[in-house]
Amino acid sequence: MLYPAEKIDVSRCHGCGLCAMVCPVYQQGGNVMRTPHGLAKASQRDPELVREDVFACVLCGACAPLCPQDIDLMQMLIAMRSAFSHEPLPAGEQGKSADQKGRVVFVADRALLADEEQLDKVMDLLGHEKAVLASDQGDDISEAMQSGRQVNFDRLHQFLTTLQPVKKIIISDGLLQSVIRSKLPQISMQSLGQLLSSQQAFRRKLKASDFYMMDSQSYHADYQNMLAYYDALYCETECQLSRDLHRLAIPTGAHAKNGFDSKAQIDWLLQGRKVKRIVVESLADYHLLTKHCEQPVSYISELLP
Amino acid sequence: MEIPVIPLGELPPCPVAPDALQGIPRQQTNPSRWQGQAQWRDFVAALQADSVEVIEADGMRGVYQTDAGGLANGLCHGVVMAESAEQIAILMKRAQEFAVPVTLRGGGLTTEGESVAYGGVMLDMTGMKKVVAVDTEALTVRTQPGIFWHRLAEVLRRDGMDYLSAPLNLTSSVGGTIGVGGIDVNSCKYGCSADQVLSLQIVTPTGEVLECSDNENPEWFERIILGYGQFGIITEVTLRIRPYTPMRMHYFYYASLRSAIEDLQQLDANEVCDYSGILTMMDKAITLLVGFDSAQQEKIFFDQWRGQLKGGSELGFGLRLIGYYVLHPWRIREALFLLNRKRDLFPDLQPPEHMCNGELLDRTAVFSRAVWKHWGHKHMVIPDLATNVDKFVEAVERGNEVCKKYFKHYTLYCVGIRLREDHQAHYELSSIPPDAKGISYGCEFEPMLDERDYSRDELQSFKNDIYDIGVDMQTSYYRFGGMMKGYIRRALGDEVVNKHLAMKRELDPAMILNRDVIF
Repeated sequence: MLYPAEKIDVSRCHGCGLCAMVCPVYQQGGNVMRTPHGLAKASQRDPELVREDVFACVLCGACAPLCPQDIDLMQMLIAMRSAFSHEPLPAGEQGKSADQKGRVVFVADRALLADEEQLDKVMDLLGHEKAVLASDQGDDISEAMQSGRQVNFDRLHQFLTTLQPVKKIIISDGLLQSVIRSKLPQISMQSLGQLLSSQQAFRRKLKASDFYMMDSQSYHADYQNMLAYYDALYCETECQLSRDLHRLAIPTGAHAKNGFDSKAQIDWLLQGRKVKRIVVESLADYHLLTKHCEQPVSYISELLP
Repeated sequence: MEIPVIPLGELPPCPVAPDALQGIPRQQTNPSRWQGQAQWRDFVAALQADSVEVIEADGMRGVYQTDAGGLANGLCHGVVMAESAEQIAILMKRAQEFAVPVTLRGGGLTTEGESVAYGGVMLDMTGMKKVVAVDTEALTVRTQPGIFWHRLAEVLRRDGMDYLSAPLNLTSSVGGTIGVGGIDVNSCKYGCSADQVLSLQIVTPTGEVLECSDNENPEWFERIILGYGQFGIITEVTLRIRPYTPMRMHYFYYASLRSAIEDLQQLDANEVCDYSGILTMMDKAITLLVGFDSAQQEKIFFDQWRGQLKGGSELGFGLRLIGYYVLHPWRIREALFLLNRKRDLFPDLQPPEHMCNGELLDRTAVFSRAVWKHWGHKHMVIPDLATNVDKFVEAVERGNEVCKKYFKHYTLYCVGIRLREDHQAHYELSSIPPDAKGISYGCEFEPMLDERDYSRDELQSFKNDIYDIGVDMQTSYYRFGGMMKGYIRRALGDEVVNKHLAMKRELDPAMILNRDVIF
């Protein structure tokens, strides 16, 4: 399993409710059982009690940096979901690690892998890094985490083995980013959003009337670094960022299952803001926003030549 | 004394005599569980017929088992998620009919079990957490009561607005705060959060929906504000707001509690600053916090007042402390504690991501996390004393001695609360001391419980010792409900308590609303 359920120490939760304060699912539905706080408290009584509610989480990761007890809430949530799954993920095809030795590899998210044109554009933009597409994308692992299926140790090991000899990972999947960071901390890694938005050509095109949507999973997977990075981006461009008062990224809920109202969430994201254009880091967010927003939406790569 | 062997399956009489604790009258601190299961099912069926859902699932009930204090534990029979005034009105009518207790909960940040249900219904007010309207011209916001202050700040900020004052712990709900007070570091200027209320929509304990304010149903307004949830359920609130400003914060350091308090009171009396308070590490490192909303006010302070303060700079105070511990080397552990505590805490009070040009952008976010990170514990014990200006130094010094007696490490947090002359009636039977004029002061005594496990008796004894000071000095308290309600009559006197009890009996005939919090 990705995170063994027995290693989740829910007893450390004091019930302060800070996680609920920033939880988009709670803000929408008001059901405390669907927050890390509620799940931990109910689990302290009986782990079986969270069987249904744990799947309502959108895995945006906003709760994790805020926990004053430093409980790894993403690990807790993913482990809880997989503990109730009866559908383990089958082992995937073995990737060829030798091909990637010393290389810069790109691990793409599922939405990008499904869009050949955008993927080609991104690979072109990564040309200066001499990046190649990772031989094992691990998208089945990401999907399993998102949907709550068990990720068996062999499959995870297989995926990580292919990444062990690489020089650097560029990644657009925030969930996998947090897994890789915890399992292979020695490898240099950068999110696609950060890499592209750091280019001067991109920054020159970003204006104060633009609303820049960070990918919430990537942002929270590397929170401390991202804080400083996006502060600098704001200082340079004055673009509006999709952050709350805690400097956490407000998610769209693009990956949500189980009745999360993404339209209401987007309305909240844009409430009171004067926005002429929305620029997004995540292709899944792009699809959602183009469906629900009046303002023009641009995927991050579109601002680069 | 021989303690008899206890046969399995039997519970013998308690071998400890009722007067075993010499000089300490025994008081029941935890209320007993409501035993009315017989009518519970009929009550639930009646509510279901009225389309009010009662959640009886174990997991859901378990979430509400305790509060932030973590010392009171109780399980409700069922949970109702608040949806509307009309739904709550139906609930209250049925609860009166079947005599089922209804306990309200917002953020659950009580420490004495006030938001723990010992049977009956837990009414979770966070189901009602929408902002109804923001009026940036009239500077008001109309909101539902279950919203956390943090969320309210988020919504207001989109319009460039902010609330006036709110508890430092922003997972408090607006409704719960109004019921008890709500103290901020700018309460010296704006008063408590409850004093920001312009009007309320409430549901009475018998299920009527009313609008009340200083002009409309003022007798209800008087009772609900700072009413500890005894006389009605808030379902909508209109609050005063103000344009958002970042905060300019300065710290001054003291070795004497008395000096720091005298300076705090001098600044408050002369309305020198917009934010003020005292935060200590035991009585060794005492910090006076002084904050401003504008550069102009800040300049006036430094030009005219800074020179009069007895507090020093961080460097000067640090050197003085080093000198002290060089002369008292056997206290090296204490010195290390202070050093580590400062290293951990101070960066979290001014984190770089929340600072811009020396200004704190989001005190709302910064303080709420810092409170839990540095003072949070599975048990939170925060007895307090609230006094008029003249009694405050003595109350704090005596409370400090009690802290020393029980704990190695603790924090004191002192703030001033500006009072509204026209709200005197609101303050009756509240944390505001009856003899306070113009401004009152509160001090929280918060031990750090990480060193070892403390028994409930130890913690209760500590709280009793603090509150005994209050009884002796004829002051008031903030947390006098729940487990501490035994002190209400001793502190506030029979006349006031009997008057409120009579009102409670009249307005809540079955005595079901927030039972055991006060009455």
